[in-house]
Order: sequence, then C-alpha cells, then structure tokens
Amino acid sequence: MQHRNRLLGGGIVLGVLILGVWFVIQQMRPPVLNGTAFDPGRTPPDVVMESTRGGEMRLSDLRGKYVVLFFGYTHCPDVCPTTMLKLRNMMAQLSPEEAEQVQVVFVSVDPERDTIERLKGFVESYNPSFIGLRGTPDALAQLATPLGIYYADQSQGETILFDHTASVLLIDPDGNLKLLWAPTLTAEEMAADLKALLR
Amino acid sequence: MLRKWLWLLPLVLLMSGCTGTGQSEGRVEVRDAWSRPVQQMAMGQDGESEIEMGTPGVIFATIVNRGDTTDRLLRVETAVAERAEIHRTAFDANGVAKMMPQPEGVEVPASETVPFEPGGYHVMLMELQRALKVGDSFEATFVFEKAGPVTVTVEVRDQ
Repeated sequence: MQHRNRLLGGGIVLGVLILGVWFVIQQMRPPVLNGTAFDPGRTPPDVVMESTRGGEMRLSDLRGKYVVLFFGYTHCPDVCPTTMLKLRNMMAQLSPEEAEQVQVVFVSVDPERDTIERLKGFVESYNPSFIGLRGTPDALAQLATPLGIYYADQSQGETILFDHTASVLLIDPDGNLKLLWAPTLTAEEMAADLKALLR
Repeated sequence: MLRKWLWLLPLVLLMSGCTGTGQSEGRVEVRDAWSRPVQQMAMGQDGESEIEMGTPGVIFATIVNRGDTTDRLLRVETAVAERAEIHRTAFDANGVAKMMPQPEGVEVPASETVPFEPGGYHVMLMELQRALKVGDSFEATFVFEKAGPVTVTVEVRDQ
C-alpha cells in the first residue's frame, strides 16, 4: 500500500515537472505572429517631418514605443479610411497599459494638398492619440523609398487619386523594423501581434 | 376593432420590406447601401477660415441582378455630393493599392451579385455638400443601362 502511495506521489511530482518544463519552453518560444518579420537590425531612415502635435518630429523621437506606421493621403476614399478604422479598432482591443506602449503614425504621401491642419483633423478623427507627419517631397522620399513604400500621384482633373502601398509597418521600441502587416490582416490579428510582443 | 384593419397588414409588411432596398421592375436590386462619416474642418486662421471636408465620401452596397440579361451600372447620382464617380480599388502583389476609375460603369451579369465593398468597387463622393454623421442617411440613385434608376437610402455607419 505504502509502495503504491509512493508511486502515485512520484507520478504527480513528475507530471508537475513536465508541465512546468513545457510552460517554460512555451514562454521562451518566440510568439507566432500574423505579420511578416523583417530581417533583424533594419532601421527606418531618421527623417525630420512636421508633426500634427506641433513642431518637428523624427521617428527616433518615439523610441521606447511600438510605432505603427502607415502611408496614405487624406483625400483617399477607400483604402486609407479602411486602414485607419482598422488601426482604431486595433487600439481599442489593447488594454490601457498596452495602448500606452503603442503609437500610430500616419505619413502623408500628398504633402502638397495635405496641410498640417487637414492632416491633424484626419488622424485625430480616428483616435486623438494618432500622429500625422508631413514632410517635404524630398523628406517623404527619403523615408518611404528605403522602406519599400511606393506612392504615385494618379490624379485625374479634380479627382485626387494616389497609388500607394497599403501595408502597415511596425517598428519596435528600439527603432528596428519589426513586422509588415499586409492589407488583408484584420484589426484583431494586428492587435494579437502587439499583445504577443508586449507580453 | 383592430381586426377590421388586419387586411392591411400584408401590404404594410410588403412596403416595410422595401425600406433600404431599391428595386427596379424587380430585376436589379441595390441592397444594404452604406457610407462612412465625413467631418467638416475649418481650415486657415484669423478670419480666413474656410470649411473643407475631411475626406471624400463613399458609398458601398450590394447590387443583385435577378434578371436573365446582363445589365450595367452607368452612374450614381446623389444630392449630397457635387460629383459621384465609380471606382475600384485593386491591390498588386506588393500590397500597392491602385484606385481605378470606372468611366464605363460596372457590368452586373444576369443572376449575379456585384459587391461594392471596402477594398473593391465603391462610389466616391466628391465635394460633399454637408458633413455625414453616424446615424445620418441620404438618398442615392443608381442608374442602370436596362433597369433604369434605382433609388436607395444610404446609411452612414462607423465601420
């Protein structure tokens, strides 16, 4: 009887140990993310732009936070509002503590028509915490091109239209490019990535 | 007392069923038309302020052709905008969104449904005449080559 009890006790201890090791391995494994990972160590160019918060801003001013970067234009009828609503819904799924560590930044690919006032009204209508950046055409090219962001003015007459990359970029708190979120991803999938990275 | 008016019930139900869905001779339907909010912004400073719209407006809907011949959406008319254009968003392999005006309109094949949805076909509303708030609604007329005009109520939604 005593022998049986000892065996049972040993079995429980072994079971707890196995569970513990499994738990530690799970914690150490990098999370499976919905976004596409960038090669480690790539940083975005540090370009000075005008900010909707007033004054000038560089992406490096936001070190310490995850930066969610999207390029678009305020006259955009479909893709930009769709993405901005998605980013707003993504933020809404984060806890206040998580949201504190995330900064959404919208960079205008149409600095000529997007005045800083217009840009401010646009980004803040989705979430007052969102920042809009407006650079000179040169500054915009310096930032966008190395990131693989394409944009081209295709306006026809009075109809303002741009072709532009609709993917969203995620920069980690050290300023490294972390993930590329394809336009097909949902707010839930992007929020899940942020939650996994912030864990 | 109520029983006296019961015969009206099917008629009322039939009429209420038409709300929000435009039909023309029963062949082409425009269902679930919706739009997004657009705010007005005061631009400029010191008395030079000018009212501008934050973004262009948009209409999404589902077009159903119940007939046995192909039809074509030619244009969309609405009093809330100076101009309404039919566009299509398409994404290439690199995630670049291209906005393609559809000056010839959009074909709606027989017995098929053509969705106007985010990331696809949509009606772009330029020079909006007023702000659009969530819960507002406005009328828009979808003009088809064969079925003619189909007027629907467009709901402004936050989605």
